This record gives sequence, structure tokens and C-alpha cells, in this order.
Amino acid sequence: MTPDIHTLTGAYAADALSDDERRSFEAHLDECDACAQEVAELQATAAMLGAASFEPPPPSLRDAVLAEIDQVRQEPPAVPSADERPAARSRPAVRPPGRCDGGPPTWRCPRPRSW
Amino acid sequence: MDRPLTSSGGGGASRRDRLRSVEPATPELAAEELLLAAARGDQAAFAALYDRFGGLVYGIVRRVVRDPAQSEEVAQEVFVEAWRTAARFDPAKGSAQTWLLTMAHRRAVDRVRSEQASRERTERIGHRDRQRPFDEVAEQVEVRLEHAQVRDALSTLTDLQREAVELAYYGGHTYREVAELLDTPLGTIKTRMRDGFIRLRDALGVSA
Repeated sequence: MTPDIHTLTGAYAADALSDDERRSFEAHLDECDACAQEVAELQATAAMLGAASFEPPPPSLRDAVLAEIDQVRQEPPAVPSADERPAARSRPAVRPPGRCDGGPPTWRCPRPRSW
Repeated sequence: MDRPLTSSGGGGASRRDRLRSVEPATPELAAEELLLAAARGDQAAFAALYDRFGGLVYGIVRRVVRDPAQSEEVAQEVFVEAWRTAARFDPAKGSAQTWLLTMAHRRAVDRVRSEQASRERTERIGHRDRQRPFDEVAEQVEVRLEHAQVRDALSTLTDLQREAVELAYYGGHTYREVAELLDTPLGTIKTRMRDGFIRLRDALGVSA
């Protein structure tokens, strides 16, 4: 049984895939613009479902967040490397390690900055 | 106007330049601009962002995770991650709200899954004690505009689509668990989930 992978967009947007499935679907998203577009739309849709669950946070949360960010270094933005343009989109055969560790799915990791 | 963007001072002057046409009226500032300012290290902008989205992030986390103390922890992780990775936010790819809530939901689900994994050694399926009737959940939810819209949109789904979407998104279940809970074949659940989201997308007028 090799189910059509394109049908996983909904489950992906709902974070309803197992870790393994999520990884392989993200690999698919790198290749499939149609799915990537659909996922972006369905994630925006899912976020609206999320926004319907508004609940006032405990007041202590604000202080805790602001205290913690003061001690956390920010990651740099993705900087397109000079040689990214020409080479006929030479995709790395192997995906960079630690890819998208925890980052949200649609905004995928910056392209590798150096190799 | 020589006031800082946001109430607490300590920011540099340069960030004000990039946020042109910004009046001191912080509430009018687009969330995307706040996030971009935060990406440049503006903690006051980040605080304003928190003030705008704290309840949304906490709300979805709490809906999935349930336990208030754990929810608070997860919500804190979400905001810290947002701070850390703010420079990766690309407004061309979606709104700040979608970015944050996507992150929040993912983290909430991750928390639920890891709790479940540790329980699964002893229990066959760990989801049973987390499952609760949706009506009960709905009552805890503060009514806001989006809520009514979302309810209306959900009501346009077939029962199976709606249950699949709700169990996955609000319940934090994998689609395999959803198939089990609804006693429905996997393939059917996958397609119903997708169809359900597509219908919601159209009903809510979402474009990305």
C-alpha cells in the first residue's frame, strides 16, 4: 500500500503525522510546489481554528517570557549564499542535519549557508 | 515623534527608521512589523507582540495540552522559540499570527505526544484519558469573533470531516489514532481530514 502522499496535506497541517511521516512529508514538500502551497493555506486555516481557542494566559506568563528572552540569543536570518543562484539548483543529496529543529513547518529552514 | 515604538524604552533609534510611518500608537502597528522589529532584538516590540498574541498562543496550547501548568510551560517555550527564530519569519509566506499559532500547535502536540509515549509502555493506547467531549471544551473558550466564524465554518463539514479535523487539531491525535477512535479506515480519515480542511479554508476565505 503506497497511499497517495499528496493527501497528507490535511493531516500535516493538523500536526497529525507521526515524526517519521512528518519528516518524509517535509521532504516531499521540498519537491512538490502544489503540496507546499496547499499546506501553507491549510496551516493558515488551522491557525484560525487555533485562534478560536483564545484564553487569557496567567499573568505570570508574561513576566516569565520577557525575563527569559532577555537571556536568549537570537538566531541569524537566512542569508542567501553567493553561489546559490547559478548552479542548476544543485540540491544537496543529503539534507542538512538538524534541519528544522522545532521550527514551524511552512517556514522551512533557511537554505544551508555554507557547505 | 521621538517616542520609542513600544512603551518600555531601551531600544535603539535605528529600528524606528525601518518602521516608517509609525505613529506612537503601538496598537495600530501590524503584528508583522512587531515581529520584524523583534527579530532585530527589540524586546519592547516583542512584549507588544506578546500582549497581542499571548491569549491566542496560550489558548490553543491549553486546548490541546489541558493541564494549565504544562500549558503555561509550553506557551513560554513557544514565545521563546519565536524570539529566537524571529529572523526566519517571512511575511511573504504568511501572517505573524499563523506563524505563531503554527508553532504553538506543533509544540503543544509534541508535548502531548511525549507524555503519551512515556505512558504507552504500560497502556495500550494513551489517548483515552485525554479525550473529552468537545462541548465541554467549547464552554471554556472565550467567545470572540473568530470563534463564531470558525463554528459556522465547522458546521459546513460532514460529521466525519468535522470529527477528523477536531480530533486531530484540538485533540492532538495522529490521524492513525483518529482512524482508531472513529473506527474508520486510515485512507478514509486522511482524505476526510484534507477535504475538511479545504472546506474550512474556503469557508473562512483563507489564502496563503
